[in-house]
Amino acid sequence: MNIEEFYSNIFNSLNETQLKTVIEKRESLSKVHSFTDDLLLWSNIINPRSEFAIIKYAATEIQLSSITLVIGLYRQSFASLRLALELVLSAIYFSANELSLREWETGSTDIYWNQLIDPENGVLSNRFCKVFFPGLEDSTAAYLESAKKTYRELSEFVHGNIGTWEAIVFPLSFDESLFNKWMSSFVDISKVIIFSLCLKFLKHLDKTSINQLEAHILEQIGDIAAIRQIFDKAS
Amino acid sequence: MPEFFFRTEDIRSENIQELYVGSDIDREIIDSLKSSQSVILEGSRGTGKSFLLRMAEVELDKDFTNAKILPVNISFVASSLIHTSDPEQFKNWMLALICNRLIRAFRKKGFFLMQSQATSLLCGNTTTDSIDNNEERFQRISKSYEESYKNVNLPISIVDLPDVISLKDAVEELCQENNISRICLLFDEAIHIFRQEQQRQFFTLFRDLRSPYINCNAAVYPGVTSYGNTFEMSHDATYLRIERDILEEGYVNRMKGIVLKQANESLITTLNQYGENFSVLAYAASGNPRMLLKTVDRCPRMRINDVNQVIKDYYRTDIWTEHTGLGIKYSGHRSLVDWGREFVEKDVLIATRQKNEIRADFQESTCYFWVHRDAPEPVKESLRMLEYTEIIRKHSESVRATNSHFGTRYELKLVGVLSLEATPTAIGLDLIKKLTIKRMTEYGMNSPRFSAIENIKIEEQTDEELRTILLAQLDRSIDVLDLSQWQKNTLKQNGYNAIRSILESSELDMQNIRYIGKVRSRQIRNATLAELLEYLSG
Repeated sequence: MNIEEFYSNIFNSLNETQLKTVIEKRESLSKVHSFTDDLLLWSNIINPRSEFAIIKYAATEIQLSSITLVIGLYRQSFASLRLALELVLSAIYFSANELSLREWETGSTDIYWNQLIDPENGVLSNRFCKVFFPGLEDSTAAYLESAKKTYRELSEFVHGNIGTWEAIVFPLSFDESLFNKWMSSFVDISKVIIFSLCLKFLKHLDKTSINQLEAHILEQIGDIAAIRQIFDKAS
Repeated sequence: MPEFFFRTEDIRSENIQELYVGSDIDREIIDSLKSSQSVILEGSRGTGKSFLLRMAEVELDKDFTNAKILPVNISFVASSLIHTSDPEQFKNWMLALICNRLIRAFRKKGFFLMQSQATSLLCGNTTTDSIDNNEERFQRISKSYEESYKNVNLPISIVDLPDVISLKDAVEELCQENNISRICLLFDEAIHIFRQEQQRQFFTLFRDLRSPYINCNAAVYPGVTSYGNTFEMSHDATYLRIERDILEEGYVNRMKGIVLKQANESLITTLNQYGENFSVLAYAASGNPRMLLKTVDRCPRMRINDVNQVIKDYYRTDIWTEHTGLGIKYSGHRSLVDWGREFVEKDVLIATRQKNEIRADFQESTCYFWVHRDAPEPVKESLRMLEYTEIIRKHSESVRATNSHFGTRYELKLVGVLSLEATPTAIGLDLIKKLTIKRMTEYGMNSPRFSAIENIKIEEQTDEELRTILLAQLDRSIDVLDLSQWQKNTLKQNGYNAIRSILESSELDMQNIRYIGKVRSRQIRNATLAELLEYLSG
């Protein structure tokens, strides 16, 4: 065996996992694809604000996460998913804190998760809510909790906690329970992401943009009356 | 006290099934909606039409991998906003909405990814980078119609819209290509109760869309009057009504189940402790879950005095206010609306009460009345409106009365009968136990009660009139809006007195006012639109 064959063997095996995953889970994967589209739409709409690029990158990261997922690189896929969540919330945070954005762009500060989800000043705080979308206060706390919980669960894979060592079995192959775990985290973070984007931007968008966003927002968080009201669907 | 969901829209899809308390009839309805028949589901407000539609959608969606039936749920609630000079406006608007929702549904299941921006993200631009895809094109058409009330003469381009046959062909092709057995369309708020032209175009479309690959289902209110030239109920659809008959065995338990699904510990204890009081409320709601939840919400402690008060208040204030409101809104129907109220309050209820007093010794009571099938048309129309606002319910048709003539048996909502009593809880359960459909107050073909309205000519509410209603709303003062007093004063000082002035000005115009920036101008416009829509959709 030479080095070419070594890698080629691995990729053949990954490809088997990929084929199996896509057959078994085509519906779930369709949801991920569709969510990436939704996120890219947000990025287009927020453009030319400089944060749009971060959201676009987050969409890319979700696709990368799904690729590592279908080939069975589960730990990597969990880590990517966490990064995507962090990126979107950072973009939102920066959109309200230009100084932090510029410092981050020049590499002089990092993104801190705790800063993003700070209950007093973070992107899911009452303070944000009062200014950017009064009326969402009741729902915000629940989404903050959901963001924290999902982030913590995903972090276990990033830090390689013992449970995650045991869960990931080698050689790599399709693992239904890990796939489902990823999917459940994905569903949670996609709701958090859409909710947070709405909280920050929705009230200030023009009618055309609101129309474009309507379908997926109502699907994700249309159970919130204040959100339905934006689309004239109050009753 | 837990916070109840009064409306299906407030419930997340993933929670729908948890809240479901089904009777056999509900189950049959859901199964019919899922089956290949085309179903027209009739029910008054709050009876659970949307809920059953969502249940069917969620179940089909979960079972898609096996059954390969793709559910698509579409609401036509915005039909009141459509006012163009296009004679086929409703059909075109509905088609655009259907196309948009269909494409989205296909895409969400992983078919039809070609036009997507996400597809080219990681491996370069293989097809098209344009986000100007069909899904959005159709949405633009439907939105233009929904904004047409602002300007009737603005032309809407429908060149991109397929005709029904091409749409059916496209669906057939897509289904075959992707191994999908059929599309199950679920139309919520399918018809506008006062727009006959919308009703005609809807039922024609409903019929024309049917194919081996598409089946249509629609939730409608009682009181549809126009089915168009081609639609025939017996041929083109299965007609189902949501029924929760108060005389059915296990009625109270099923209604209790609905509340318990959303109850917390303390409410569960209360319901068990004051079971009888709850039963009275359950009967008062006459099978309407939304009404039951609303009344329970108002007397969480279930004490006798609270329950009695709630029954009286709900009937006097909530229900009648809504009914009378219909007459104010649709002034062409005002005399019918008002006559209906008179008829129920001054005649039917009093006659019913007398009957119940007299028949008490015979262990009989009633909440039913009968109207001859040849009663004047305005009477029937007036009764339809009473059905719409849930004051009466059609119990059964072709019922023989004592004179052996045929007619329709109606049921008075029990809340009305009970609200006349000093203490509804004292007599409620006894009265209900004695209920029999055999006793009913009868109103013959030429009942003197009908003389007041038999000569009223019912005219179809024209679009022009409906638009007048809409425009009249635009002329209302901004005082009715949900804005702060300061905002209202500032707006008025700057010449914004009527709702119209806000909707017609741009946000930028408004931002010229001191202290009104981007956020406030948007907030003001949204409050204005929300108010308008809430009024129009009742």
